[in-house]
Amino acid sequence: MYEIDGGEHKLYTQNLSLFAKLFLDTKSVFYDVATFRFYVMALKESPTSPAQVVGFFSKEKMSWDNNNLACILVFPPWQRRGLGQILMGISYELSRREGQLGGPEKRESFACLHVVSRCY
Amino acid sequence: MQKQILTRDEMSPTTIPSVLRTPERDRKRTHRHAEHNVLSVVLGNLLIEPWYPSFYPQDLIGNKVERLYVCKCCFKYSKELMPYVAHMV
Repeated sequence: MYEIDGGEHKLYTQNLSLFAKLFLDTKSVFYDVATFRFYVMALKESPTSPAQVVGFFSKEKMSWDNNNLACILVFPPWQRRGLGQILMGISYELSRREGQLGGPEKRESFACLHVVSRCY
Repeated sequence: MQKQILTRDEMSPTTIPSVLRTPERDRKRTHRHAEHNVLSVVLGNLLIEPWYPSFYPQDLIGNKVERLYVCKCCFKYSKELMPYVAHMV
């Protein structure tokens, strides 16, 4: 897992957001990424292959609505492997360490609701 | 690239499909959305069918693009093959 500050790596996080929109219905932030942190999951299919980004979640640096999760997505070829639950778990653990109890942003996608319901 | 359409039962962690159809539960939602402007996207060696319309800038990809090439490392995108290949090298 890698933490990427949207303000420091603007182009990368913008491109990531645009790509993620292909698989997310209710995503709205593509260019204004400076106020978000992105947590990217990279997977190595074999010990010798390079790690490849297979999913991510993003969090607001400062959430006025007590949201601890903005977007979460595992790219389609890597779905149904339990990676979404791992991302969700890491997201909540980060929030717990920050002392923030909240929930995902409103208007979660259907897939996000499915993963959240399985976590609980 | 060979297109392979798999049903939900055939998909398993050991087979990485090169093309994924829109999930059954989302098909009823997507047909109400605007027409897809990206028909397929290449990520590394995978060809993926998007689920929703994208917000890629129209001045760079136009109204509709059949195949969008996206770098799997930095997510830079291109509608042309040659810039994508040059970038990967």
